[in-house]
This record gives sequence, structure tokens and C-alpha cells, in this order.
Amino acid sequence: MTRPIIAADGLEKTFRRGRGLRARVTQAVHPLSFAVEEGEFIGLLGPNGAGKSTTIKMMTGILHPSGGSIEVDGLSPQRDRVALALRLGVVFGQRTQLWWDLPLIESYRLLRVMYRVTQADYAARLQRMAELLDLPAFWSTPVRQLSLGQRMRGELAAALLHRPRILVLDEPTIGLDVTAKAEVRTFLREENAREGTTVVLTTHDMADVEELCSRLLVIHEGTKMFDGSVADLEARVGAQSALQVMFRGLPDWSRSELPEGVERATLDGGHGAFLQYNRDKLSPAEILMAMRLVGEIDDFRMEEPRLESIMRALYETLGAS
Amino acid sequence: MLDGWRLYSAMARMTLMARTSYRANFWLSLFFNLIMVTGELAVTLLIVHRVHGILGWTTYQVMLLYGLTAASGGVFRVFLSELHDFDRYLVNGEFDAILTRPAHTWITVVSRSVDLDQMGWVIEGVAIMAVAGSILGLFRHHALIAGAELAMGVLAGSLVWMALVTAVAALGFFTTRVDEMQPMVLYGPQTAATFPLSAYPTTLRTLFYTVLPVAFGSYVPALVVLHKGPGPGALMLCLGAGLLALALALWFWQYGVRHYTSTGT
Repeated sequence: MTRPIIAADGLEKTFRRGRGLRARVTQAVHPLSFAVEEGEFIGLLGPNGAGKSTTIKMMTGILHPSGGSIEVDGLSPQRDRVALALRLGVVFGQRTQLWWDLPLIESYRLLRVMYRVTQADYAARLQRMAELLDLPAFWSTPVRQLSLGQRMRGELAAALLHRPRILVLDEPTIGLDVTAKAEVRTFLREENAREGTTVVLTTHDMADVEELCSRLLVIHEGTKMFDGSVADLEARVGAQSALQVMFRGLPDWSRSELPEGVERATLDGGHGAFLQYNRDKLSPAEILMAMRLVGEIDDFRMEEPRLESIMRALYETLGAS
Repeated sequence: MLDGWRLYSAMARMTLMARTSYRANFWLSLFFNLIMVTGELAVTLLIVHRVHGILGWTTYQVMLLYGLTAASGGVFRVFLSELHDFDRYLVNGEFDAILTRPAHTWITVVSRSVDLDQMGWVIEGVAIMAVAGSILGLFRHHALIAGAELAMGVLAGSLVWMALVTAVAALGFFTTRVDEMQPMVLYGPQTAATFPLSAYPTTLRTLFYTVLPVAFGSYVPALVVLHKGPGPGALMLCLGAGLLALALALWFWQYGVRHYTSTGT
């Protein structure tokens, strides 16, 4: 087996806020260990404040770990920050890496010098990016005047201009409309497949994960809660399906009990019910049978298990523990 | 080192290119600058005149000292303007992006802007030195040598100011009160340096030769140029002190970077 391209071993980060007696120490990342193989497309997930960003910042050399170690492409992100930066592409969805006042294309010229890309490589790379992301339509516009979708396409090209071996994306689809999201996803999938670029992604959009990630790493309160594929996660949490039932008139819930493991939410002022259940343990027919006893069914709709509900179920069990 | 310089010049060029549309701005700020410098100089000279020269310094000698301080101060205002309100990088986490770049963080930050509007300080400082120097007859015999000495003085001064502004900016890694430090560490000493340091009490003088080494950036070079004691060799000492100060400031900066805590998202 080859050496992992990213290896974290007992990684820790504590923050001190305030000074002297009032200082509070918070532990953002508890001992966290994981490994990423070259060419993987990995999703780093977890509720807000789970330690995703802190982990990513230690991976990219922005923060210094308080304990443990992290190695990226054989380098220490802190000690060899400059050398590693040449092999990393970074996109922070909430913050621009481009020059705000310059036309987009000028940012690329600067990045060429900064990342020591030869003229020939630069021309070839830029042409490919331009085609895939349709950049020429807006690259003479100053960055601050670009739409969010255009800017994100610009950011992706900027992060990949120097052919990084690893691409780190922190919420790249945040705030984008559906079309822009789809464009970004298609581009990322293509880049990962064609160039073999290892991608680490954090997102709150489960569609990103479903469409892109070959593996998930779920962290919660700074520790690893899950490491595996979407299918593995489904198997562990249970495939959460949903059934939506509309009644003619108001149902009388005292007439029948719901089968065990079904969670009910009220819809449409009591005329409907949203029922979540584990598909591996229950069939929709069983639930519908119980529903016929409580009221006259007007209409029903089944929803396939979605990662979103699986994650919600996982976060709920985490919160309960 | 060489890489840093290449990067800096490329980035600075681009920054300047992006500014060509603001040319009108440039002349306007040059004009306001002129008013400010003239006002400051007038006050300084008035004080000197009132006390009938400070410890053997004539009005024109103090004028030369003022020109020297203004010119070297201008150099850092032009090239390190990005460090002026550097704490915003730390407060809103903009420094994250700086750390992902394959270059020294200081170079990356500094190259993000070149404030040509501040060029007025340099131009006016040089003009003031030329006028004062001519009246004092500095250029009558060895004009080239006097010019070179003044240039070295400006260079040493620039290094000292660069060191101080870098150190103040790096304080931002540890405290959020850089605004309150700036007058103490930077602007106070800068004003102080426009007067002969022999006018100050010993404790302040010691401070200006050590922790805030502004003496090497204006007073000592002026002494050399005006033949008030130290020989030309002292200029090398000034340059050395400037370089040492900048090196220490950059070390402090690097030390600060280790303590950068970023922001939550």
C-alpha cells in the first residue's frame, strides 16, 4: 500500500480566548487521526462548530496544531508551508483568494508568477480552465463586480492553475444557485478524474457529497464519528425513507398506534403527516396499513432515502449522546 | 530572498497598473501632502527659531533633519502601506489566504499595495533637504559626497521605519489594540526624530538608540552630513542598525504568525 497523501495522527487544537484569569481554553479538535489516499475525493462533514474548518486550516498550514501531527504530501504544513503551498490549491467559499480590484485575468497573471508556472504550462492550463468554466465571458471584469457564481468559477481556476496535487475546498458551493452548483460539481468531478487531483471538501450541501465524494469523514466535537462511503453510512445509520400521507378530513391518531421506529411530523394543519422510517426494518405497506385506520387516505408520496435525512439522523444520535 | 524580490516587483507592478485610472487622485493627494508637510515644517522651524536654535542647531540644520525624516518616512508609507491597518487581516481572518501562498507572508502582504499617493513625502523631503543643504553650503565642494551621504541616511531611515512599522503590525498577532500602540511606537518617535535628539532627556535618548532606534534613521546621519562629530563611517553603522532592526522585526513577525488563531467561520 502506498503512503497516504494526507495523514493526521492524534491531531489536536486548543484555542485560548482572553488573557490571564479570564482566559478560557476551548478544544476545537480532540485527538483526530485519519488518512487520505492519493486521488480520493473525500468529504469532511459535521455540524457547525465540529472542527472541520480548524482541521482544514491545520492541513493547509494556517494554524499550528497544539498536539499530534499532520503530514500532507510528505511535508509538514507548518514547517514546510511554502513548499507545500506550491502543491496545494485552496478555495474558501466565504472568502476570496483573488485580487478584489483587478480584472480576473490579472489575478491569474499574478498567480502564475507567484506559483512559478512556466509560460507554456500557464497558457495550456488557462485555456483548459477557460473552456471548462467559460471564463472569457467575464475575465476582464474586476473581481468585485462578478456574480457569486462567476467568482466561484474564477476561484476554482485560480486554485488549480498551478496543477496542485491536492485541492482543499471549504464550502465551495455556499450561496450558489442550482445551475452554478451543477457547473461547479461537474468541473470538480472532471478535474478529480482526469488529473487525479486529491480533493478534500467541506460542505453542508449533501447533494455535493452524494454527487462527488467517494468517502466521508464525519467529525463531531473534534473527534471522528464516521469514516467510510455513503453506502457504509446508510448501513450504519439505517436507510432513512420518508412517506408523506394526506388525509381527507382530520385523522384520529388515537385509533391506531404507529409501528415502532416511525417518526411523525404534522403537515398542512393536521390534514397530513410526514413519516420517517428505516427502510431496512419496515416496509411502506405496513405504515400505510396503520394510516388507513386513523383516517381516510387521500394521497401519499414516498421519498427515497437521502443523505440529508441520513445525516440528520446521525447528527441527532450524536447530539443525544 | 531573490524569489521574494521577484515576486514583490511583479506584484507591485500589477498593483500600480491597476491604479492608472486614479491619476487625478494622485495629484490631488500630492497637493494636500504638500500643505501638510509645509505646515509641519513651519511648526518645527518656528519652535527652533523661538528657542534660538536647539543646542547649537541652526534653523536650516533642523530643516535638513526634517527633510531627512520626511523622505525616509515617505519610503515606508509608499511601500509598506498595507501594514498600516494590518490588523484587519487578523480580525476578519483575511490572513488565512496569505498563509496559503507560496511566499513569505510579509512579502505577500506588503506587495498587495504600493501607495503612490504618499510619494509626496519623499519628493518634498528631498526638496527640503536640497533647499536646506544649499543654504548651508553642503553642496558647494563635495556635492556628490554630500548627496550620497544624504541618500544613505534616507536608506538607513527607511530601514528603521520599515522595522518599526513591521513590529507594530506584528503586535496585532498578540493584541487587538494596535491602534493604541501605533502613536507610541511609530508616530511619536517619528515626530521626535525631526528635532535634534540631544534636546531630549537621557532615558528618551537611550530609547531612541535601542528599542525604537530612530536615531540611526535621522539624527546620526544628519550629524555626519553636517560635520557635527561622527565621520562617514557612522553611516555604515546606521545602515547596519537599520538592517538589524528590520531583521529583528521580521523575526518577531514570524513568531507572531505561529500564534495566529484565524477566526471561526
